[in-house]
Amino acid sequence: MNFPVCVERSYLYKHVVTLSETDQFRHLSYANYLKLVYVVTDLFFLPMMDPAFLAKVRFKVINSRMEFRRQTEAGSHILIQMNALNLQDSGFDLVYQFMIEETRKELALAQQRYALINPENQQPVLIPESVKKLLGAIAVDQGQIHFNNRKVREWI
Amino acid sequence: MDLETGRTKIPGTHREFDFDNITVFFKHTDYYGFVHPYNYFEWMGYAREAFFQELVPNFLEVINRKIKMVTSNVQLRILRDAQFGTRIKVRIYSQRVKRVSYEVVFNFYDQEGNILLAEGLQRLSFLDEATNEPAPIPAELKKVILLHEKK
Repeated sequence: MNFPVCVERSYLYKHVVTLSETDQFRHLSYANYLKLVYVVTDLFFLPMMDPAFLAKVRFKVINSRMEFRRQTEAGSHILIQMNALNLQDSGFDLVYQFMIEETRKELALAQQRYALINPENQQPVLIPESVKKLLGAIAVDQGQIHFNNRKVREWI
Repeated sequence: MDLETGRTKIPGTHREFDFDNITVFFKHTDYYGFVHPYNYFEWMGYAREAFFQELVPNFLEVINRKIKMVTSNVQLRILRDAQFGTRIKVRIYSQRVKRVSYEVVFNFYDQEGNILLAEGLQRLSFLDEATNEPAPIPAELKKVILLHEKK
């Protein structure tokens, strides 16, 4: 008997919320969640980000959205799970699931659409094979990602 | 022009609030010299706080009550790149005002030429701090939110 095997990989980033990241309401502010989105993304692509590569390809954020489900405080250990989806010739989406590391309770869900462009003439460029391979390793289907707001879902 | 507030008022529709204290500095730029998208999220926060601070006389007292304003979701669409030195104006108005939440629309303009750079949206919800249950928008905030509501 054959059993279907489904392997899904994600890029995982662990973070401890510091006091400096919280505001007078003692929670991680929404802007700092977005800051973490960019930290995780940059780290994921860091190995290929040399000046020669960056001179040919710019990863440009076109759209961004995030839903916040729970608040978190200084000292919380959080896990950010990043996956790729909607891989196209000149663009892709990244989705980020924020959760409490211990309990896996959802904190937030974010999605960003990137376009790859030539930094000199701002024209679309095809995704390099190296990038395609990297994203393919963490690819998931859009159907697996559930934003609560239906109208927001239409944005995709 | 609304003589009372000094803000743009469109007759018969809704008010809009301008936050025009943003200049792009080096710290806002990315590898290519363009505004890093993160900054637009931060500026949304500035604009909405300036909105309440200016239009709600007891705003500090209101936010220290047991009903908390929480960002439920944010969206951003970047239309054009901005660079060092650009002076940016954020024009905001509200929409879909409900009992316990409403949306704020943020339009970012390059002040020179009034060119639209980016569009943002936030849904703000109000929660009872004690129970974590949805709570009505405080009256003082709702008054100005409704004045700026685009229907």
